[in-house]
Amino acid sequence: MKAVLALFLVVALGTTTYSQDIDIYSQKKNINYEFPYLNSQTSFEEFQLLNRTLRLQDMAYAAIVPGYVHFKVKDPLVGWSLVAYRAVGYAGLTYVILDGSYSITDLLNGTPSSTSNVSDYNSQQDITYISIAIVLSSYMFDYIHGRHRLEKKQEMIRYKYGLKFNMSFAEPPIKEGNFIPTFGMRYSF
Amino acid sequence: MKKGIVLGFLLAMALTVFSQNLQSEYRYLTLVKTQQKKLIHNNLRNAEIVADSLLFSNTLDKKTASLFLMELGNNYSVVKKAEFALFSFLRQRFCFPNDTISLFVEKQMRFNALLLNIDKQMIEFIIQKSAAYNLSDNKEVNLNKLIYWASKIETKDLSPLLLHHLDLMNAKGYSLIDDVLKWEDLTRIAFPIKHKAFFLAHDFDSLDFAHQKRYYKYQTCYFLKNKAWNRAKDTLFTFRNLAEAKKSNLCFLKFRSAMHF
Repeated sequence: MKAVLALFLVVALGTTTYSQDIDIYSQKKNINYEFPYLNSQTSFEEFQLLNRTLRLQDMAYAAIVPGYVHFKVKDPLVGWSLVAYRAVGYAGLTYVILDGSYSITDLLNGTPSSTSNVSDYNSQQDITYISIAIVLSSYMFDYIHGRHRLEKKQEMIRYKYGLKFNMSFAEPPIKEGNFIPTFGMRYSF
Repeated sequence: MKKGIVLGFLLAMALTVFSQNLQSEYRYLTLVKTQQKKLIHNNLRNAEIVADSLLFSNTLDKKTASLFLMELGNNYSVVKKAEFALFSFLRQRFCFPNDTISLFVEKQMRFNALLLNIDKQMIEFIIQKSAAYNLSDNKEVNLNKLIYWASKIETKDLSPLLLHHLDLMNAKGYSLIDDVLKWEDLTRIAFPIKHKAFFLAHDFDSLDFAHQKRYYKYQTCYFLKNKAWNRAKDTLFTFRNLAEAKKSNLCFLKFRSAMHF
């Protein structure tokens, strides 16, 4: 009986968490097999932007790859700026680790040893705090701003093609009465 | 008989769809003109695709086509692309002349010419030349005139669009007039715009050695850049003969070609 219950729990857990997809909500459709209606003027870049969504796994990737979300939403300038920005943060942390005077945990705990130089300890602590702040802020900015940019771009594309599609069924706006009657002569030889 | 009716129905459907598409594009242009500039920028690529199809198709909806090109020019004006705005207005005047629209377009053309520092006399001359009574019934002639007069207001950003139109004309098998061919030749080799007017006004053989040297320099660089080695060699030989006759040095071209040969 216990074995049956255990099996049931495992199956139930598997079906509710969708273990192949690290996200709270599941991606219930397979976009690889979906052929959407596209306007004949849609560019490949617009198609790519419409296809892209940000999920929890992207959040994890963005922690590892600097500027990941901005590269994904086709904002390479901001993406490369974030790479440079985070590189500065990593450089600060690398300096503290290579220097080896104090461990990172000591610097974060704020407990200098009795033999340590106070001013040197303070400067290294500042570098550590600033570096960690740079790394974390670049990550937060990348995810939050990147998500905002993606939504803006997708809204713009949907607005454009959605309106054009609806307008194509509307009444023609151009009437003869809108024009000034004109009279002209032409002579060619 | 049945086939004829079916074909006629299909043709009517195709024309209606194209016309509706053009009208929706025109409506969208008028709608975004007063909104965020990002929306205008986002739509310009699509509008140019429609404009291309308009210029080279036998559309029956000339009124909407005329309005569309005018509105495209207005959109360009809003995003401060004066040269593109002027070109759009010229497209309207040369390809879909309409007296009512021309009244508005002329004012806009003068305003955009002001932004581009174009001579007042020049823009008045272009307006006069693009008036409906100066145009031909032949589309090929009008398109040649369009490119010719658009080349007078050329800027670095506008050149690729003009060359694109020439490519479309070539693809359609339209013949180009000599002035346009000469301008195309100079533009393809990336000849500086400020010297172009002088070259267009004079016959190449009548130019002095300094000017010919400048032309050969750009031509050789163009061939080398596009890896057309044989053409580059031919140009270099022609120029070398000319230089030896004039006893001039060839240091720049020798250096430039040494990088490749």
